[in-house]
Amino acid sequence: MPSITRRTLLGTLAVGATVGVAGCSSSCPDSDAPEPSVVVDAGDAGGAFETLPTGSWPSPRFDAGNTGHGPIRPPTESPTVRWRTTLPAPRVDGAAADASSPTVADGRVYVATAEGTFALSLRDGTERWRHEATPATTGPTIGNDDELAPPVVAGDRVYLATADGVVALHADDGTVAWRATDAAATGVPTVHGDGLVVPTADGLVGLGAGDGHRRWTTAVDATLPAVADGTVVAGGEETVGLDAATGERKWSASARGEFYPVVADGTVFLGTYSQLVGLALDDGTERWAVDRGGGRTFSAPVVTPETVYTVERPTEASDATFALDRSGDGAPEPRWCSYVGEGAVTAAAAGHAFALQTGSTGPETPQLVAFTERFGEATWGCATAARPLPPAILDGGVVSVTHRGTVAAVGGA
Amino acid sequence: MWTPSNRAIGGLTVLGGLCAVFATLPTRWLGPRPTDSYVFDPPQFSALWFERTVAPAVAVAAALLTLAGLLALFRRDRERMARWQRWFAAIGVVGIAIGTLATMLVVSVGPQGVADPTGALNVLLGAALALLAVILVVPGLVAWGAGYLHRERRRLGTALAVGPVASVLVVVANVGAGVSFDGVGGLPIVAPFALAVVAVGHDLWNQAGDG
Repeated sequence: MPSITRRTLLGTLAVGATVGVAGCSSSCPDSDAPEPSVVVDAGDAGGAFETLPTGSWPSPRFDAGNTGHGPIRPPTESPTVRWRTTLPAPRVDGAAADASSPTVADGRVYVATAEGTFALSLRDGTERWRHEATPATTGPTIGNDDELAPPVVAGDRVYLATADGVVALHADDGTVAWRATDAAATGVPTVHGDGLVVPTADGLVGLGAGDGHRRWTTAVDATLPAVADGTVVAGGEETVGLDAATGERKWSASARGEFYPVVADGTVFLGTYSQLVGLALDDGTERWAVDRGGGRTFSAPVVTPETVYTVERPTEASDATFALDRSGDGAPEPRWCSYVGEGAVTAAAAGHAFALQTGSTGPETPQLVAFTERFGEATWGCATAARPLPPAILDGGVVSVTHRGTVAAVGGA
Repeated sequence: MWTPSNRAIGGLTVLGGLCAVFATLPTRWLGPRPTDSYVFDPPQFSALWFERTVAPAVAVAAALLTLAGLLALFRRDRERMARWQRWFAAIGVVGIAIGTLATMLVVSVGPQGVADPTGALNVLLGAALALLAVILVVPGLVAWGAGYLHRERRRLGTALAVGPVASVLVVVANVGAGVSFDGVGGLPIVAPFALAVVAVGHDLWNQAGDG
């Protein structure tokens, strides 16, 4: 009978330990938290905007493709907090935050809490209207815990995913335009053309944006579906491409996104348990994969024309933000990475990426950091009393909401 | 077998001392460098590119040239050394050789390598070897230098006896007494030792044999 020698045993243990540690550690050599040149304390509000920021951030990841990137010029030098207000935000069982991330359009900021959906003036944060409805609790989009579904804006409508179904409001006064209460919403609506794709208890549902009538239903799980070029991309255990008009399945791929899909330039970007994967939007075939070692989960990316931003999440080490070069049709190549503790990158605009990082909170420690696209220099950060949610980026402004429902607007000097 | 002249090795040893200083120049003196993130492929001729590409090669060259210089000095003078001085000189040369190996190990890993376990182990091994090198080099060179001082070779003796001790004192002042060297990096640590190396090279250049 073969016997295991001590050398064999020790060798096996050493190899096992090495492989194990490799999968648990970060592949980013940077191990220090970024120190932005300017740190804005969200507790110091300076007053209303004199010049109102323009542009909009109508959905949690800006567009229907969930790219998180818009043609926007946020303040990048000498930012100051213009106003700050705290919404009534009772605790929500099972949700990581008591408020949703913000959306902004036409001079109004939209935030949902368990008390309802609030429309605030972008100029000074005063309440314009509120609609009492319990927002849907969705799967995680940035962390490990469930979240409250943010309002989504398109045209003159605000679409709410609620525990009772989908509600469309008139954006100017908050009155109800229509309700679709067949099934509770379980994810964030995505607006495309004249349609709406909503994850519900019945599955993924296509609704008419004008009147809310149900066009199709399909048994697909989703938290934040992406829509581009007439194709809906969503998925749980597998990723599927659906015809946005009929809901018919065009393709399926075995790649399982950990959070939500992102679609840009005919490619589906998926952060998976071990890779960042690129699929063809046409047929779901894999185009490339970024693999930095096993056991490192990748967040859903932010995709700009030049750069893919994602967060690498090792099992037993701190997260790191990665900026990857989009070079042709091949796999994106790492350009820079930065330690973020436990974090997410959710938006990019005008050569800057906006990352959330957790750790100690207070005036000295920024939890929202703006990195430059080329070298990952932290130009400014915003320190909040509680952990911030993904911000809304505007021309000349940034709107941020904390887990406890405090909304703050930052503008240039 | 052809062996280079002491004069040639002396010149190279002076170059080694200068390389040691060059390799430890604070990168920020050469231009702005990103500090908040790790840049994977820095632009050519940027401060970061110098730090990643040029400085490691120069550091290895400095270590090898220093080793060559001390070996040449030992070979030149060993017949005229007292027995105890010869032993300490040998210990010093072995220490420098181990230090050269440590430099190569650490440099071979590169900044990205620390993230992977093999690289981290190499860095740990390099640090352990560097510590061993310091333990051997300091008494070895101090005693070797003392022998030269005993024979009225003041410049060479002072360089060998004082250079390594001064470097160690700078480290002790930094770690033990909290004396800050912000902005100048490792230059205060390396400079005294590099000066000693230059003095050794100068001596080899000037004197073909022990006078």
